[in-house]
Amino acid sequence: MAQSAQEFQVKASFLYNLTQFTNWPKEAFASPESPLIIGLYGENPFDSFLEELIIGEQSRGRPLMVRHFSNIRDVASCHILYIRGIPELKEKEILDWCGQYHILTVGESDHFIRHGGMIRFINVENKIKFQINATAAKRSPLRISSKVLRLSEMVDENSDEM
Amino acid sequence: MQGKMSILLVDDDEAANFLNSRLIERVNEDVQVNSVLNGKEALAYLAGTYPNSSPEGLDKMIIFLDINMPVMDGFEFLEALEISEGIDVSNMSIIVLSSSVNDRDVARAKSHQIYDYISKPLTKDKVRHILNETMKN
Repeated sequence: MAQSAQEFQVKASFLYNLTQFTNWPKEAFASPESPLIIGLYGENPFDSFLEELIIGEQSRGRPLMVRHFSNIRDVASCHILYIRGIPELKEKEILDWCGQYHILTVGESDHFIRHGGMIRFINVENKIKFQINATAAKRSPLRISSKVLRLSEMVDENSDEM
Repeated sequence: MQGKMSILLVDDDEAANFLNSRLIERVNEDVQVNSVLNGKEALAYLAGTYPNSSPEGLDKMIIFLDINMPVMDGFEFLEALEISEGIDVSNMSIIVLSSSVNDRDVARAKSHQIYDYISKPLTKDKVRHILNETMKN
């Protein structure tokens, strides 16, 4: 199914809201003034929409920033990483690498949750829904607000259906 | 902004309601935003029989109405509202917010008392424009 600009505006809006409804431990930031970084790895479907969306916005006093990554070793600095259009094995490698940092991983591939990704976008009858990897969420020191959890379907990365 | 304003989101997509509520609050934190999941719940809300509904005492209410919803869709809501008794529509501005750009849907919606028909998704600019324009009336 063709993915519309409208769909990606909703996804960008959700990424922004994750900055408002997720708690990162203070070790996730170099200093109290450090920005909260939304990273994009692989395809950027948002054009400049995400950058425009976060202009002037903050998360608990921290400025927001968008960065584009193409090297796995650079992602340690980000707090949310949206991964798209990456071959399956590479995606798994990125997710494994992210596991050692305080990174909220977001993606949409069929195997994203099974490979340990935390939040997956799915399209159900032309509505964007969110799946949360319950195992990864429990494992992570990040705390996602109940307001977001309530909207999401909790799934298990070990489930055969994923 | 003058007066007490509230916004009601009528959409079966709870995620969209959440994102749109947040968006509106970012544009104007004084506006009270509530959401319901279909036209039937919207009618109950406006009649004051829906949990936590308090439409009385508002100077202005804006309703963002989706078209495609289960139970009672946007068109059915507009038809029911027109014949309802006991719901004061004088302070309401209804904006249809739909994914459909089908000319027939637009024409059908505009045959009712709506303020505007806009396409999803809601953006800050659209909200700002609507708040400014509706407050003039």
